[in-house]
Amino acid sequence: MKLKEMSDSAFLKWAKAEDGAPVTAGSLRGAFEKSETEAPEHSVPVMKFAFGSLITFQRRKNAWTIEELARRAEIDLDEAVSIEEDPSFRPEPRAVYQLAKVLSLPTKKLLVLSGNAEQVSPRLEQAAIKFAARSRTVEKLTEAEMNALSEFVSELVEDDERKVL
Amino acid sequence: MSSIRLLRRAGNQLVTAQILPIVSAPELIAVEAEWGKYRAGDKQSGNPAGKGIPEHNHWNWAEKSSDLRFTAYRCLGIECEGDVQGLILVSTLAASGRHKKHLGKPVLYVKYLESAPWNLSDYVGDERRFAGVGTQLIRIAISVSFEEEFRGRIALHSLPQSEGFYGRFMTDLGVDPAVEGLRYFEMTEEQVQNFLKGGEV
Repeated sequence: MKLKEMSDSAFLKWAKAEDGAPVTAGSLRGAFEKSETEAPEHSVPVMKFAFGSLITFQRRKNAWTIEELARRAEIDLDEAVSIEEDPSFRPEPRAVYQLAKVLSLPTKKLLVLSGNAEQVSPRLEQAAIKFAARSRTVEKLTEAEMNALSEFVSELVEDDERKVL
Repeated sequence: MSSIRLLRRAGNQLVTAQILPIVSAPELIAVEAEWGKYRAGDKQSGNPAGKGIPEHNHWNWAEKSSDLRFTAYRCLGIECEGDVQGLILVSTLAASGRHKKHLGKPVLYVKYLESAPWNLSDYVGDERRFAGVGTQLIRIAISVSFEEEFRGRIALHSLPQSEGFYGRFMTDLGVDPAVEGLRYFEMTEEQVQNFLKGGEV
């Protein structure tokens, strides 16, 4: 192979620019992960629910809005909303990595939870199920929420009574 | 075998390294056996992102060796002081350029590119051995592109952690939804000449 010429000064400039940093091109998926076309759909949908809840909780812990999260992670706002709100949504691996970075979460586990990699441990599955179950809010309802709830429940009860009569 | 230079960090010295023009599947497996020792940490400890674990920690060149069954793929490497310091897997099957300056013209696609883990701060901190491996791998890709008569034009999908580096000498053509949402970069003929002289985009 005939190598193209590069001066030592040019090489040193680029060498210093990359020094110590990972200069990688290719794929976020690896040997233990399936390719894009065969990315797994979880047999346990709760995993994806746990993923969305985890992102929401970490975001709230930082007191960020969804917009702020999307901005920091450099992902689209609609993708951020879908991640948090739609358990059937599978984000791109890049978005998962970006979220892992800004929220200081382990990337590999996040790839599994998000449906981008095969599940590697039953322990993670159990932890996800437990988290999903406990992540439902137990905060007291606000007065407005209580009124809305009462009104809706009353309507349901009355509707039911009307049918019985 | 052609030789190139690397920057040995101990002593800040330019040293001579060898280009491996063809890396075979068994050789890839042997390389991964060495590199894998550095990757193993995360598999056991589950270290969080951003705390010393690069995004490609889970890569496995032994698995990538199956790509070499196809004649369109070629793997090259850099060897220095008895160890393989970096690997690059390219597809010589011409990809179609997307940059407006060479739209539809053939470009050499870099499928994978990685420097050995002992050259990265994430794995070894200040003890890293060589700098400039990625730079020389890009230079090798450019040279293969010329060999294939693609005039030095190359393309790649960057991992998020490396976007800043490639963005200095390649054109960022944005997120590619077809490839994991990674950003896609191409290098024009002019950018190739700039890069070889140390110039930026």
